[in-house]
Amino acid sequence: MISPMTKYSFILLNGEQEGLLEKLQEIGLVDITRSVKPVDGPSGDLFRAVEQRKDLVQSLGKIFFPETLQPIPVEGDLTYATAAALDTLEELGERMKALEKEAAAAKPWGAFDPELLKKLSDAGVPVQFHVSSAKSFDPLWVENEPVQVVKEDDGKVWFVVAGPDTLPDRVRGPRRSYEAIQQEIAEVQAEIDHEKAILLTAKKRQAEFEAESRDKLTQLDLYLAKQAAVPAAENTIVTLVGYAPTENEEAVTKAVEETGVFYLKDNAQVDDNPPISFRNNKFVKMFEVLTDMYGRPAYDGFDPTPFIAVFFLLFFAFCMGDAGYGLLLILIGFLLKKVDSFKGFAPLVVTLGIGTTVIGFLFHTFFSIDIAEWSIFRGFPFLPSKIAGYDGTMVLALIIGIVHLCLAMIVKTYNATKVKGFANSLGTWGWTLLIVGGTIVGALALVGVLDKAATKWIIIVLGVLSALGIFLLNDLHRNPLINIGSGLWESYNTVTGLLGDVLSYLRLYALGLAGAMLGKAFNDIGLMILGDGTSIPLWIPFLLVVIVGHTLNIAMCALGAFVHPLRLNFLEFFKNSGYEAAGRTYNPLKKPSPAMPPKAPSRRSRKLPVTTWCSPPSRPPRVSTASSPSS
Amino acid sequence: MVLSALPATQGIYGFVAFFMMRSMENPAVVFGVGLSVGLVCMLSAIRQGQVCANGIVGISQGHNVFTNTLIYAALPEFYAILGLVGALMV
Repeated sequence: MISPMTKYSFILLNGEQEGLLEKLQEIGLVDITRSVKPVDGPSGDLFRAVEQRKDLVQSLGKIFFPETLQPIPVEGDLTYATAAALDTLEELGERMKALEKEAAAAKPWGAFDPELLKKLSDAGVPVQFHVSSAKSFDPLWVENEPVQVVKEDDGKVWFVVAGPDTLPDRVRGPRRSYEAIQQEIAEVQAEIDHEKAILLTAKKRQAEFEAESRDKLTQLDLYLAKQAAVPAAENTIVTLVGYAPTENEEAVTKAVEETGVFYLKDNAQVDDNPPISFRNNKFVKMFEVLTDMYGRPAYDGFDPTPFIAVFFLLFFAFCMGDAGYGLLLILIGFLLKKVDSFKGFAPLVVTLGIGTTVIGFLFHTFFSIDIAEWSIFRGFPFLPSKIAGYDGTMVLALIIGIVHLCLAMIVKTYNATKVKGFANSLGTWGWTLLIVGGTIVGALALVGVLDKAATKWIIIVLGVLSALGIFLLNDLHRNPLINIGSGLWESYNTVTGLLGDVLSYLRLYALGLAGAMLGKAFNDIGLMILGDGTSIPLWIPFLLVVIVGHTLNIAMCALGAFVHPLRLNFLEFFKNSGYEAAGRTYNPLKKPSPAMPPKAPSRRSRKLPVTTWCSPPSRPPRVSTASSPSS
Repeated sequence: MVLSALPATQGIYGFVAFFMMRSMENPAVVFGVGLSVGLVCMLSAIRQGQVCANGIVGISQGHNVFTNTLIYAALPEFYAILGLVGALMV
């Protein structure tokens, strides 16, 4: 759910911002309305300093350091020396590659003096180099031509001809001998070792880089917050606006009063466009990253994360639909915990794996094998293969879709009533009563809870009440004839839109079926290779086909199972629930912790200046009785 | 590399459709299914390849678009999946 926010308006003398902002940064609870991208030269420099240190740490992690290498002391700025060493190492690496290629070409020719070759050439006897295959080399050439065979190896013949010749397979001769190239290689290797020794020094002081990066990021954030201050009274005073969750009011108030700065606090209003902070339990919190992919709600909106948590998990599991794949996902999730960059995703992957395992068992599929036929699972309540004459999974997908959409409409109605009031949301009530009510009544009639007569009368009552809301009372301040016209237009949109939305949920069935059939195909190919299983050598290709096939299948299914459930939530659910991503993320001013890798603003913000967004001018804040009377 | 290999998945769908049609006795059905699945997979792979190519160009220019490209590329693939499912339901 959305945390209620308190708005703090600070009024202070120009020049006092630093003390206040440092205190706020220390407590890390107040979101000062500020730009998230560099806005001028100094902030751009700070941003580039952060990026440089981040790149250096990443580059150092990719270099191999031999065990015998010793670090050497570095004079001057370590960051500058490291960056220069990395550039030099890259150049030396390119040079080494070229030298090794040259050495490989020169090696067969053995030792020779290039000066002598030059003298011969100047005397009118240029030495031509040839490399032929052993089959095409004619031994008569040695007798009839001034040919000297240098080396025969590996089905090739290296030979030289003194003077102009017409023999085939001429190659460009080496400019210098193998020994000379090896000498240069040794020199370049020594230079590489020297640069790597500098980098080893830097690597041992990597914590310094990370601390510097955190420090620069802190300075950048502080600078951007200072730039957000609005000057007034001919630049003698400045005002700053910040927001913090109301639950942290005590801590924020205490910290601000320690600074002695004058402030006003008030409950944040929708017009203030305060940042949105979610307050969810551990399970739902894992799915906030998906909500953030679409955008945070407006302050008077609703938090869709609990719905996404349940239904994304369900849809993902439906699309994967294999207990074996679910168990593999759980294993992958536990392995991801050991990798720093993916540690945050591990709980989500494990949760999705558990869901997939449960649904996979319900669909009686284990690595695309139908386990309903196994004796140990006899009597297990699997999903029936047919429901009302249609494929069980297809009917289930449609039922889930109908439930999802009905829930979306109920959410829309609840929100509309909360924001606009009951009288102004009668149109929404009408539609929800008709569709959700009709669906419930239809379901009850299908299972036999309601008899025909009762169903008929309930439908009639629902229809009349809905029609009143949809066609007459949809806008109480408007001409009823216009309401009827608007109702007819809405009816057309709803009927066509809703039908399409329900059918869209068939993709869950399609994805699950495609994945299962793909896995089954790989199983069948493996079994075709294996035969009756008595030949031991055939087990190897069988295992190869099955392992590679299922790995490929998991990857493809996982991609589809991620994208399409996301689309169902973002399009179908958000559209029918009236969700709008009009809010901004709560981003308090705080110092990055050592445990948390420093996150610089997006690389796309290299171009300056960038627009700074602030909350729109709000109504004058009410003076709080708890405000500090200091100034 | 992942983005350049992604359109190849439609080939696997075509292979699965072929595999599932091995036991079909009606040659006209086999021909019709093969033609439909082949056409759908080919056209969706072409469009998916165009999406992936644009993503690769974006990545080479320094934009962080790998995840978004992967998501957008999965959308045309859905029609190949639908074609395969249609073939399986015959």
